[in-house]
Amino acid sequence: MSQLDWIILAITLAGIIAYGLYKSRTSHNLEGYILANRSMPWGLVLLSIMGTQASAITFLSAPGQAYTDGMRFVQYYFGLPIAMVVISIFFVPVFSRLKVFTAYEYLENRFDGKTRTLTSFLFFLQRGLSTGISVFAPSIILSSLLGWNIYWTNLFMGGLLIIYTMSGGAKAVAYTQQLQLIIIFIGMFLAGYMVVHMLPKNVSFSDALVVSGKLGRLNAITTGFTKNRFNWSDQYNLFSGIIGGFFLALSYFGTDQSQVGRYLTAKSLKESRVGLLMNGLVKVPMQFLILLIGALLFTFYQFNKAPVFFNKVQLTKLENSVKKDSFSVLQNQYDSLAIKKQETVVTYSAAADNKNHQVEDESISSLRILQHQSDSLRKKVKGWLDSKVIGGDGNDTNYIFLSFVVANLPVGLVGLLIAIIFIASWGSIAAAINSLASCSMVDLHRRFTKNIDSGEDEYRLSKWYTLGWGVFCIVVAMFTYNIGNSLIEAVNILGSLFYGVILGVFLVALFLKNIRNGNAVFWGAILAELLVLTVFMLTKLNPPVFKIGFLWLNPIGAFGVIFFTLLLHPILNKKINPAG
Amino acid sequence: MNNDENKSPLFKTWRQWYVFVIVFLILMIVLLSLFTKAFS
Repeated sequence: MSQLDWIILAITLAGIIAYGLYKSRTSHNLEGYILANRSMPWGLVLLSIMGTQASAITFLSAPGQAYTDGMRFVQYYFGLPIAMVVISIFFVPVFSRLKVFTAYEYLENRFDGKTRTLTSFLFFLQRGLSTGISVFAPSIILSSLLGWNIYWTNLFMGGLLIIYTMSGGAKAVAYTQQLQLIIIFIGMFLAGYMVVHMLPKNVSFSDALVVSGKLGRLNAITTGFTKNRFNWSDQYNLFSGIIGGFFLALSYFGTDQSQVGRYLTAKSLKESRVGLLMNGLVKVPMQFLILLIGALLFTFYQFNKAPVFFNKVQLTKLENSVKKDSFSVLQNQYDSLAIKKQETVVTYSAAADNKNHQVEDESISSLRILQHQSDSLRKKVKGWLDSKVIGGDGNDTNYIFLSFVVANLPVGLVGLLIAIIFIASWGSIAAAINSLASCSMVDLHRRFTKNIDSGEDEYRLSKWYTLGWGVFCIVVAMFTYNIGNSLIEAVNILGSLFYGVILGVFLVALFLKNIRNGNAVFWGAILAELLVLTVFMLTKLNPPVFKIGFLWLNPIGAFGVIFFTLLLHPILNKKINPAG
Repeated sequence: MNNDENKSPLFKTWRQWYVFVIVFLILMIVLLSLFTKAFS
């Protein structure tokens, strides 16, 4: 990185911290600290919701995903707008009427203390670990690409945001997220512009789309059907996106305190609803544009030589392994394919200029064959890295976009885009730490301490809980480095292991009014969690008993709770009241 | 809570808001299908 990049990075990060501290002034009580005195307009609520969901990995992974697998990842968000509507109709009015501090507080009103404790425990487990990984995941990418020390990167990624999060609570989190998102959008727009700008002069934007599309990268809609049969293990298609994505979004936005805490800061029910509904409107187009950058990047790498594998650290591992000779042969094959691809795509663009359709079609057919051969070589490299002999990480999706940034973008813009990785992380981590501190204070401390603390005491304690969770997440990030990348994948699906069950408990609470027995829903949730874990384990056996995409675990968990609760309710009711 | 304070902005009722969000999603899916078809 150049000196100018360092200056831009330092100014951007210092600016965010200073702005967070400037907006830190809030009343010294619990409502002021964890809910910003319920004073936020819908615009801030919207940006806070978006800033919480969009972590650094969102901006790193999505373009890489489009580069390797095409734009079909956008379908993952199709269930989100439907979930926003359902939450606005059923969830928000209940939370707003009861004036709860956390989502789980409602469950004690509706059922009993142990159901509240169970759901908040699942939240602590899932959110605590995944926030630690949110610190580690972008740190390891920056550390690999720029040669930074991983421990210092983790510390900067997870530590600096604690300053304003601890100082100003939910209000500072919301205001910094607003500024962070503005910077992120400007940076991503500039990156997208540069990808198109760096294509050869005679290649227009629509030519770039045609090349990307003809090579399968603009597959925004896929049905998941192969040979007239639905493929349940296919992760992203129209149906898994609408159904699985709906349950995931319903659970995440309706029951995860890191999101519920954002719209509880709204000054009225109206502001919460508008914030959520606007999120439902903007999310799909926003993800489409981020993925489009990756699809255009793919075209860029038809005209320019792409690395066979984007994670240099892993590549070095391969070059020094027993596979080094095989890799050297493969690298030569890959390089000669890259030259042929460049020649063919130049022929295509000249033919497109001259409207010579026959040459256009022939060039595209040749490009498809060359791309297929090129993809096969990349697959071989990934297979070697994943093998036990090498023991590496064969997934380079998250490295593709940033490798392009570091290698190709002009001085200054590199610093801005690296700053974006930091501030995107800070936005989601700050909200998560704030919500973990809120739950620690409201769902644990307040319930289990005998002494009633004053507002000032609760404010002070909440700050300590914020610091505690911040330190916990950094420790998890450091620990993850020692365990390896396999844990990242495990924690990525951790959400789907628990979200469905938590959602199921809320669905019973909101829609099955005749169920008043806390025992039925509590044991129903335990059984449903066991069911989800069993299904998951069966898919992980070697060979797997069956295969399903992880998004389907959400509806299984939610319907599992409803099913077991309905089954247990009459039995447990008889035990409590044998005469009745 | 005051009813006026929670009145739907832009649309007359909240129901219209919800319909708008769902119709917008359907429109996005249709547009993305056309986009996929046009470039594949």
